[in-house]
Amino acid sequence: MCLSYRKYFWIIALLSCLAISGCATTQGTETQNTTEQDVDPIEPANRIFYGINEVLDEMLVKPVAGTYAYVMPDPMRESVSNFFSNLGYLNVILNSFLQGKADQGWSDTSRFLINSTLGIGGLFDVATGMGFARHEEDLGQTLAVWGSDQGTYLYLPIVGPQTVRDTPDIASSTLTNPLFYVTSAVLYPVAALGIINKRAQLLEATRLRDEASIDPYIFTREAYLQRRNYLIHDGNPPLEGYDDIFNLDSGEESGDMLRVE
Amino acid sequence: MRNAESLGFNGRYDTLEPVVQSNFDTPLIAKVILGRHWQSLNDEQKQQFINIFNELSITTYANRFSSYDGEKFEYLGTESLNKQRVLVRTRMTRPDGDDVKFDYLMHQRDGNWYIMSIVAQGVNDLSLKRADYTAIMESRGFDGLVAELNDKIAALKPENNDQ
Repeated sequence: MCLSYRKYFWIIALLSCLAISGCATTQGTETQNTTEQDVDPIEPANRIFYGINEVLDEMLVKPVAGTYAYVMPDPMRESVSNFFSNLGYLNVILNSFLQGKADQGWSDTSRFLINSTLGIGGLFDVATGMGFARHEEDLGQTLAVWGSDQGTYLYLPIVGPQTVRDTPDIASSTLTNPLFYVTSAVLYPVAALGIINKRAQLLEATRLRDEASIDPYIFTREAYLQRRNYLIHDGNPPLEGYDDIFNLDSGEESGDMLRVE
Repeated sequence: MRNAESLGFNGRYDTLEPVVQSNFDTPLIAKVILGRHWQSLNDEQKQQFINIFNELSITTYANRFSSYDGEKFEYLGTESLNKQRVLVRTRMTRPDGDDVKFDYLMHQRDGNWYIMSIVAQGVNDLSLKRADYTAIMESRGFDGLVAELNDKIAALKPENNDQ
């Protein structure tokens, strides 16, 4: 009963996400030189959620993750990471195929089967050594490959940085994760461990962010959007992006700013 | 820096200062970061920003490169961009941990090559700083930006955070 209720909820969520991104895709084509207003028109609302998440993180999640990283021996942490990565891998397989990368999709399928069996439920990553590399795919990347615009930048409570195009993946990654179908109470400590482990993986990244940024909200947004672009292009984003930054956006100076007077 | 730990922060700062000076085109980086706001500064402010940004870069590297764990860099290739710019692709391998892709955005001036930006796993440092700094310029002006950067430098120095 509990399961069917949750299933119902997620199917509704999936449909509404698809509906939102469907609307967003009709709004013209994506240009290289998007201004801040285009990318983040709801910045005031996003900043509120960013603030709430930061408070939750500072008070609860980050201290727990810090303790976890401190007390857990590295090999055990790696096994926990492998375990959750493997559970999430059905979503990678699905999206490799959805993007038309059949060879990668079969390799990912082998990887999942090998790590789930020889790797003892995913605790050990034996597949990488056998030539089945880990890939990063999700429904947001698939929608990008299919031509959908990235849409508005969103900072969601708990979830964190997103674009409208990435939100359907919240549903697909949940529905493809075997943990979602676990009904016993063991689910809760396991899910909590997943969150703590994920946060522990990000400790170094958030330390660098806090060290380098003046406004961590802006820094997070830029880094997220660049990272997504990198993943969508499988590590080879178009080179024009590197030239764009040298063009003044106001037109006060014609063209390129190669010289400092 | 293989002797990073024995050098200490000040030793690393002194070692890195000439390296940063001769390999990074800091004046042009500073100009690109401030984008259209650069035009609104007078010459004194421009020089002030260049100096502060230079100090922040060296301090950041001296703070970050605090130990050497056997990392190795591997050259992967070079891609040509517009206006004599190139992207040099490298991969850093670590004895324990995943590889990290580092791309160096470089340009040529007066026959010398200078680094403009470092791109780590697709995240371009120059773009990040530009977004971050221009937002502060817009909300709090040049003086607000300078104050923030001076705070950053102070926070990164070891006497202030026991590193």
